[in-house]
Amino acid sequence: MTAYDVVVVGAGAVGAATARALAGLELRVALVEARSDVGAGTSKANTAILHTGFDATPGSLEATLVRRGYELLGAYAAQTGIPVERTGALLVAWTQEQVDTLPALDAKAKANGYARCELLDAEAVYAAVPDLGPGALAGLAVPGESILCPWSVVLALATDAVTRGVDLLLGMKVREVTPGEPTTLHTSRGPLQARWVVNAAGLGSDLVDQAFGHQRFTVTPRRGELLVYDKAARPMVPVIVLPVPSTVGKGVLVSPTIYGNVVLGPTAEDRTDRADTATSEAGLAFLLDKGRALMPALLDHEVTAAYAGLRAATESSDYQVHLDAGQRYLCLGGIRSTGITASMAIAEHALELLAGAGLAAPARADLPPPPQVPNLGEAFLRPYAQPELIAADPAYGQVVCFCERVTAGEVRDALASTIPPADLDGLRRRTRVTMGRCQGFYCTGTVTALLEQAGPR
Amino acid sequence: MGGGAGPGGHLTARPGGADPGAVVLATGARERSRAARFIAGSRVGGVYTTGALQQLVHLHGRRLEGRAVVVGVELVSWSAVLTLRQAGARPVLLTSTHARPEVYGPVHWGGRAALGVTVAGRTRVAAIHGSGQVSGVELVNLDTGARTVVPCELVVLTGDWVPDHELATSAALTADPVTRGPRVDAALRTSRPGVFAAGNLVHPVDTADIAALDGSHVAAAVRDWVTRGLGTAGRGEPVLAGAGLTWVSPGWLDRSAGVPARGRLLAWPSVAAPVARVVVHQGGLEVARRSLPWPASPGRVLRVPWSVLDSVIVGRGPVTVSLR
Ligand SMILES: Cc1cc2nc3c(=O)[nH]c(=O)nc-3n(C[C@H](O)[C@H](O)[C@H](O)COP(=O)(O)OP(=O)(O)OC[C@H]3O[C@@H](n4cnc5c(N)ncnc54)[C@H](O)[C@@H]3O)c2cc1C
Ligand SMILES: Cc1cc2nc3c(=O)[nH]c(=O)nc-3n(C[C@H](O)[C@H](O)[C@H](O)COP(=O)(O)OP(=O)(O)OC[C@H]3O[C@@H](n4cnc5c(N)ncnc54)[C@H](O)[C@@H]3O)c2cc1C
Repeated sequence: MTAYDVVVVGAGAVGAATARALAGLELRVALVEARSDVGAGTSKANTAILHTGFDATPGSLEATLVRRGYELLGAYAAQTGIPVERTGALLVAWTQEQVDTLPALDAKAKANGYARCELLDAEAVYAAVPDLGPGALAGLAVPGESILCPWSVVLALATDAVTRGVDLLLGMKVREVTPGEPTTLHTSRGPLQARWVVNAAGLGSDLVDQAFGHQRFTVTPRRGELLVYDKAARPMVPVIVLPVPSTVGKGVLVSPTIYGNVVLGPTAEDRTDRADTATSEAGLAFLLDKGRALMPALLDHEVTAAYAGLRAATESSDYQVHLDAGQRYLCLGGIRSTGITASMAIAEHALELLAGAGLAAPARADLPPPPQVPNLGEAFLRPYAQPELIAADPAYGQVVCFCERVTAGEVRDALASTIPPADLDGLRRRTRVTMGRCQGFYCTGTVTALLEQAGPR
Repeated sequence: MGGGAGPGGHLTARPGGADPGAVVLATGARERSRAARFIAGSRVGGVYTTGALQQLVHLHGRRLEGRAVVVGVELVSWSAVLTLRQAGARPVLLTSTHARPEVYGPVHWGGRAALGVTVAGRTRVAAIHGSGQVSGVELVNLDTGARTVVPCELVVLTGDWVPDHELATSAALTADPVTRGPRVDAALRTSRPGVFAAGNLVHPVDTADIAALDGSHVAAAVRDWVTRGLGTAGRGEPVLAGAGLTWVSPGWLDRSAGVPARGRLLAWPSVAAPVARVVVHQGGLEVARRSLPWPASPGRVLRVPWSVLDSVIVGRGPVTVSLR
């Protein structure tokens, strides 16, 4: 077995972006993932906002990388077809105390290099979001905040990595590490050797770090539960409605989703189990309570889905980025609540750190073009609505899941793609099948059959 | 003819944009999903609605194993029991929030043969547990608050119907305040000329034979509209569900619309009664009262002779039909 130049552990947004960036150099790279699919950890279950970083802590690594990531990912999305909607956000103050903090937030945004915030009075707040509950006193508009499809982010980055020659090793969990020249990673599927190792293991990033002999941080999974409301509610939420951040955390927001729904959440609760993404009765009740105050009319709509994501929270609010040049090891851990946005900037930063530590390799001249991901965004054309496409390939006119208007052609394409789905969940993230209001009442049978016909992968 | 169906609204078929003379919405009703029922817990495999279960089993020959808890005690719940058995699984418990739902047990769909399954009334499903696959459901006794976890490998969520009213809503049709399905008159006309609605979209949910009856019933009104331009939008006196009922259909009384299929008003009871006593109010006054020689039971359509509305005078205000 020959050693890889670099092994990246963890195929979430951060690992996929880093592997892709490394593969832009003359290096042999592997991307190792414990699960059977890319982007199946925290990167799949979040609020899916492309953050400007206006409210980050000025001077922190997070502030720098979110700001840079916002630009990088925004541009990459335009190239690859990752759907992004530039909806803007509106921070709403409900108490005088919150009203008084708005100017400070504006100043903080400016300190973070974001100068486009605008203070609004109550009238302007209700003009922007007429369905807000009573009692809003003032607001701060953040026009740059945007929504995107986080599944497409990871899929695009990981597909790009693979077409650039990265070996994607799925279902391979790193258990122990023997640092050396090369370093040996002991995995659930045998040993793997690497000259350099990058830890992008999300909720497991502290454990991988410990396997290298460090005791730098501990990950505490901080659960965030969310409710997804029916598409009929979307016109009520034209912008991301943010609460004023307090010492207790970012609070509960109401946001449109790129798929055309409305999301209410997240909660914030420290847990112990790093795999437990269950929702709780208390969490759902809390969200309904918050929703009732924020936008009472929202609660008249049907709930389409409920889910929970786990933030990789640590002792520090900042990213746990640590370079160990001697071990030729880089830790990109504890990327808590902004890692989708920052992913490409984290990757860029990682390359600089690695270069500084001696990982030298020329840039590749023969890079393939970035991939095109299928559009899952409701605001953009999907195959069912494209007569020319359907005329050329009737499978795009054959609707499999009518709630989400997913066609047989899209399912077929996903099953034949560079990184095909391993199961129904993976197919859902690539096409939206069964994710609509009926949650598979009509199409579970057909979709399951299509997956089974495609055989094990 | 053109009709009101095409221009001016969003009721178009894409792509191509057909401009039909009439549109019949028959998009049916679906069972509420787990999330819509606010059932917390792990995201696990093995949780189905009856609709999904029956497709897997009857259309795709899927075999299932293990113990199943069926949530709901409607007619369709017993249908789920039969499907589970046929697929190889073992239904162990049916749960309902209603008291003693088994009293008005199944008469159709071979449900009787499926008895032997325990029925738990006054029970709410709080959460589903498991990792990967279901390992149990957490039940709450509505009277005592006591919690139990029933071990099982499958959960079937039955009933709790919601009409598939996406198209009706996008066409801005007047909707029933409770079901949000389009409101129709006895001729199955909606609030928009040329747009009709039939089947479980307007009565969530009745059996297939009743949906089929609607189908032939609506055809006459469609014919009159398309060939002779007869008829208008549905209108008239609103007929609303009062105490003891969740919805009634048709939701408009307009004498020019004739009588509904089989001369029946359909209603969805929210309480059980061994003898259904139906009371009709208009403008705050009781205008009719009738005892039906059959029971009312939640989860099953109550059929009320349309003639209970004979003494209603159109123009004197909305009508309320209740169960006493
Ligand atoms: C509720 C919530 C809301 C959020 N909202 C936003 C938002 O609006 N915008 C935003 O930008 N960010 C948001 N975030 C944060 C964002 O989701 C995360 O920062 C980001 O997904 C982290 O990516 P990651 O690649 O570090 O981790 P992950 O996506 O968790 O990926 C880590 C991967 O490593 C794998 N792994 C772990 N251990 C091992 C091992 N030993 N061997 C092999 N593989 C391993 C895991 O299986 C996993 O796939 C939110 C997060 C939450 C929870
Ligand atoms: C699980 C289950 C078991 C049942 N078992 C029995 C039984 O044993 N015996 C019995 O008599 N009855 C049974 N019923 C009831 C019976 O199926 C219904 O009464 C009957 O199918 C209703 O007919 P319908 O035409 O109103 O609606 P449906 O048959 O539900 O037809 C609605 C159709 O509209 C389509 N549709 C919806 N929205 C759109 C859209 N936007 N665009 C395009 N298409 C759309 C749907 O895909 C569906 O094909 C059962 C129902 C269910 C759900």
